[in-house]
Amino acid sequence: MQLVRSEEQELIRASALDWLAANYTFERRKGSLRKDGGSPAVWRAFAELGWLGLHLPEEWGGSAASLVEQGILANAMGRHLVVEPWLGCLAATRLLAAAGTTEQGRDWLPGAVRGKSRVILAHQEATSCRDPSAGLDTRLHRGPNGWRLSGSKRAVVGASWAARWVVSARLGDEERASLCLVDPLARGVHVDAYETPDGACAADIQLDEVAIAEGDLLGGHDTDQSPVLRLVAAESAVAACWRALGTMQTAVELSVSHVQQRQQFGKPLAHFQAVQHKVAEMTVQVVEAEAACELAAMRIERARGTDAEWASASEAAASATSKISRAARYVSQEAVQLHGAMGVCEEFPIASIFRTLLMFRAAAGGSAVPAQQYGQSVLRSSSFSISATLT
Amino acid sequence: MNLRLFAEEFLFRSEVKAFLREHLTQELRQGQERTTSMYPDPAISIPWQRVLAARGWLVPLWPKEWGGTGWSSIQRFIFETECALAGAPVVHPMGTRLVGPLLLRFGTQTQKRFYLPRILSSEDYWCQGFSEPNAGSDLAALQLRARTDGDHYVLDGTKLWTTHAHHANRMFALVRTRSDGDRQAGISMLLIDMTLPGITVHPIITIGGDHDVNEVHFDGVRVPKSERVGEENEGWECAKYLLEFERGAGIFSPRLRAQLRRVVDASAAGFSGDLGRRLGEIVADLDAFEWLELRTLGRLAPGDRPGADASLLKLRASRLRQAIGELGVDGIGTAAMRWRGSSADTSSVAEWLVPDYCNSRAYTIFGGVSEIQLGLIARAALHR
Repeated sequence: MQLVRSEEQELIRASALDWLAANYTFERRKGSLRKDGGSPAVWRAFAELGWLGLHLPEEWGGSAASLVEQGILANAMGRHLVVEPWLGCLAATRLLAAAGTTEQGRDWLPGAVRGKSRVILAHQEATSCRDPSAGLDTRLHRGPNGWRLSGSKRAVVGASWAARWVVSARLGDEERASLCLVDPLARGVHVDAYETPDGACAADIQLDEVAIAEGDLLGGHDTDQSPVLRLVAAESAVAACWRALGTMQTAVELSVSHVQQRQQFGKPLAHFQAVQHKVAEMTVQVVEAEAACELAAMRIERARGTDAEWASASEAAASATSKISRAARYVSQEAVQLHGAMGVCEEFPIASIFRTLLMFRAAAGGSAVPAQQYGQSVLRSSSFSISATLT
Repeated sequence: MNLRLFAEEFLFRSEVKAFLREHLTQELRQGQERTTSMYPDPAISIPWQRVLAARGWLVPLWPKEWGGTGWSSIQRFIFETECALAGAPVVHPMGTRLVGPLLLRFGTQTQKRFYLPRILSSEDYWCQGFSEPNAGSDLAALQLRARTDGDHYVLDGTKLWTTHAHHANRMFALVRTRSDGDRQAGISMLLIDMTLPGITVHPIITIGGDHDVNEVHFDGVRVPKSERVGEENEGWECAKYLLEFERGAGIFSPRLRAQLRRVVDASAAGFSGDLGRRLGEIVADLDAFEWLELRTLGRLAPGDRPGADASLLKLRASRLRQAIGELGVDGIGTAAMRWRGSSADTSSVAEWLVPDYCNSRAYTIFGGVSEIQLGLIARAALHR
């Protein structure tokens, strides 16, 4: 067992934070806000830094980084409230590499790694937000004139920026899942675009009998993509937790420096015990959240290649999401509280942090859904009664 | 950073499992199971401690030359996990985890040579004399007076909440050897023979109905000065060291998980609705806590002091312990109204679960209340 991060992992963290501190300050971040896909220059830089292919196998120009390393990068992005649609792109390219044919990979992955071709996963649905175990409502069926895709997808960050979506769907009435490459400009696609609370752009997507060529089904129509889809959804949820962790860490740092500087009754706020205990509770939440993120990533890595791979991954992701989601609410609210009236002004970073964490929770299904899901899952698997680290 | 056990760690784990299969009797397991307070009675813990001592596994925290194991932190964690999940009795920590490290750090050679083997052999059973009627969270306010009389101290005063004082033959205690000047600079650490004339022990029954803690009176008790640990008036250093040990040297997560398993097994109602959500939250909390604890252990070099990390672990472990107890009583519904049945034949889960829940309220109080821990965590976070 390795209890500490490797040198390479520390290096990823330090170099990511260095770049972001220099190039993604709160002021410069404004250039990325309310734009489809954020800032093109930032996206090009991500490509040059190797951040778009970090997780991909080397044959696709990636560096085959583990989930811990991806998490470390997501964490750095979270610290700087990055709004570019990195997570959705990561999931889509991961699926292309794992589930697509060589040809599909060749068509999209080299371009995606270089920041040229823009692909995004469209997976979340209205019911799946409330009940992750519910099947997909989006259906792929074969009509007289080939494959047709119908259904709707929710809150796809970067949807309007993407050249292709990877859309998850149920194959006919079966439990099997398919993954389709969909052109946003195709006939039958309706996009309801909006800004998100953190300043990114997203859309709800309506798919109405959209024609899908056989060559746009990842891995062809014979393969059930449900295991890899569940696995990638879990990995993506864990990466989102790492990103939220970074945002919480910034929230605590800003709150600590605020209570040290701000004087009332002739003393810094940090002098008052009520304030000290809030800072302590926030610190505890963030330390635990970090542990939850590390553990989830390592649990998924440990299950790689086993029969229980996606099931363990879903369980690990639910555990972390439950933890981070509760922490996100506490930390974001108390950070605003400690900032006093400044905390409720849009112009200060703390308001952006609050709204970024709100986004995370909305995507994660709040606190109750992941906890409920995890509770049922551990009862089924009895994993609550064995060590989470030593299995 | 990864969770893959190295071959030698894997082998060690099998060795521990095999040891437990062979030596952990049904009787010992039941003894631990029926314990609703912090520590089992010596009738349960001592036989188990002798088994561990015979295998050389009783005092992992001590250096090898004094009987320690030389284990890595991961080995310690594996050991504690297997013991907890197998339901082995909790080792009484006063001698093994507190007096041992205290003497190893501050004791004289004579003290080490006399006391350490007696802890290993379970000949001595220790209790801790820290709290007093007017010294709880504010420990430095302690007043038990130790007046010099030749080469003896004469002790007058009271210790309170003394766990298992009614079983112990020895106490390590903080006493006041000077009343003027700085409060912390007038405290000394003494090792006291509980059979000395002038010591009386009165039981205090806990909120869970158990006899765990006591009030101990000292009336002209003569303790040889050679039983002092460290210099006179420098006992506060020993106390700080021990408090950190008390909070930080323990491995909490395996016992928390074992307790959760018992609670889930006991719940007749199942875990639908709100109970299901709470179970999910508790397991998620426990998962994260377990890794945090293991990671913290792994980062401590031998002899390092855990500092504010110890406070954080203590705070979270105590809250988790309480959340598990709450889930238990809520899970059994009206069965929680059964405090004690009329005979052993009709005993129900409530008879351990409810007292256990009541007693668990003490976890956020002893070893430094949560408010003190929060203060220490804040101090570290605010760099003050």
